[in-house]
Amino acid sequence: MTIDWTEVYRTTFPDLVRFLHRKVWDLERAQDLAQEAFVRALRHEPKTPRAWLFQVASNLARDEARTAIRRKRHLTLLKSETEDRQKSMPDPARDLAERERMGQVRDALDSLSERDREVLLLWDAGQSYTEIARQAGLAIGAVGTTLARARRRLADAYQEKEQVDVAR
Amino acid sequence: MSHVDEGTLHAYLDGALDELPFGDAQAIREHIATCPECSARLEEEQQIREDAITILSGALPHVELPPLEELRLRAEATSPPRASRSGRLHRMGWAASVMLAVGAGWMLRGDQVLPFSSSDGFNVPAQVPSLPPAPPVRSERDGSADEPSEKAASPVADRSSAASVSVAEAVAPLDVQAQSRRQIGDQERLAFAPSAAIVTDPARRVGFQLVAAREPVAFRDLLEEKPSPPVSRGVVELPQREIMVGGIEPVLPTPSLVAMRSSSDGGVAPQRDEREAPQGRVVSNASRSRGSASFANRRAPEGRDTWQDSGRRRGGVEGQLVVPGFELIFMEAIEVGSAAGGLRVVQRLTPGDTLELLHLPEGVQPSDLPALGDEGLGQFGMSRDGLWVVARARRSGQELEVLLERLDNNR
Repeated sequence: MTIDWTEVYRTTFPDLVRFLHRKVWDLERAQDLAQEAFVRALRHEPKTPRAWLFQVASNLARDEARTAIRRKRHLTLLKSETEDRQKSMPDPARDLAERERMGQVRDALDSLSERDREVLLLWDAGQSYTEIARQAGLAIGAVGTTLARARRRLADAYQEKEQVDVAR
Repeated sequence: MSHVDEGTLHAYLDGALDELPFGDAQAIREHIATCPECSARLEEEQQIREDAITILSGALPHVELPPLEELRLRAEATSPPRASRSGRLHRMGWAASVMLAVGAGWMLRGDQVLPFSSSDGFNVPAQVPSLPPAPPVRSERDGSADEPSEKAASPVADRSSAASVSVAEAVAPLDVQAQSRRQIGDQERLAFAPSAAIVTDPARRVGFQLVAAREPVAFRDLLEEKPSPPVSRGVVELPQREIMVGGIEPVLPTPSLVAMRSSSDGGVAPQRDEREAPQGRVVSNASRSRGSASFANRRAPEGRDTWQDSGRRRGGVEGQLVVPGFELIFMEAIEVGSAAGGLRVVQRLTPGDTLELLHLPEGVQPSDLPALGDEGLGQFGMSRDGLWVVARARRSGQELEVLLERLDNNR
């Protein structure tokens, strides 16, 4: 069976970036890693592309965290007139609020165990229980339990953080 | 049936009951519907589930979908040889067209196709028009300088004749001085006899050296200086740093030089690695004597580095000189201000569209470059071990970034 890569790409890429973004917390980096995962997938042509992509993405994110490679830092966008013109005006207030919210989510996620976080993020990126079980090395019956625990901890941690912020 | 545990409640909420290997999904659904205790717990879990979803959606990135085609190109450009031990052993395709490409590049200079002409803010050291006579070819065994004999040349000449004609055709319309045309003719003869082409300027130590191969050849064979087939190898020598070009990618539709090496101190960093041919010599394995051509004006090797080490060494640069997959139109040495040792490479992206790569001299920043005169051009810079490479083309910054990444893929 041949794989319709255009379709896989369209449906999976955004989920993959979303998944990676919550691991590396750098949107550009998440995009890069998702692209890298796809480049590898196009080369290997796995039978189950979506599951394969998430597995590779997870490994890439782990490698990234381990070696703290930031090749991106060597890449500097030079201003060119064309791009300056295209660039929309930034909105500092909106940016700030967004960053703050991201920070809260990140803190809440960081309070989870690694496995709970992985399972939660995979689920949030649209992976099925079967796929989550395979990738996280869990029995399929344990996925629901893990998700239940992860969701509760996330909600608790987020609320705690909010209360601290409000009290301040 | 007994009460439903929270994991199963979440599976129920997630619509994943049917994926579970145990229990009867229908029975679970019925129990939840009829058991007051379980329905109450379900409501509680549902709230938690929704909270989690709300929290996570608070960090939703805006995802840009780059064209899939770009990723396909990257996948093709980086497969199958990976940057591993064996990755160095590139098989080389027919590199004779490198000669052709270089020749054609001269022809195309000043053409409308190119986004820049040489005079666009760069000092281009004298090259072709001030060529010295071709360096003598030296046989390693007896160490004596000798012009390639007809005997040595003849076996290759037949195989290369087609390419020779192509080069001659490419060279013929060149609008250069008569002397340089003759010189190119000489290079051509030199090139397709022992499969070497050398262009040097002893005064400034600027030169291109390309050794052409017409048939696929393993890099290993090249390095071991096996008598045949003809090989491909090139050196671009610049006043302040040396760039080594070796190997031709066979997977790609157009040949491209795949490796670059430079030592910023200007010294020649010879290789001891057996898998690499010794630097400072040109393998001219098509000749019967298996001798090596050497630059008459080269510095003597100072034996202290290897190919592998140089990439890690501070100040040493190893990487690709051109973006794989695109036809090489030409390259030339450039100076920015008074800083020499830069290299400009122009490749063809599409029939009407070129990519220009500027390997800036040491110490030169992209901000030192003359401003872009053409508004349609985008540029993107990458710093590689302190040395800058700037890509320019009629493309977005993002596309240029992808191209630069391809440049780095085989590092």
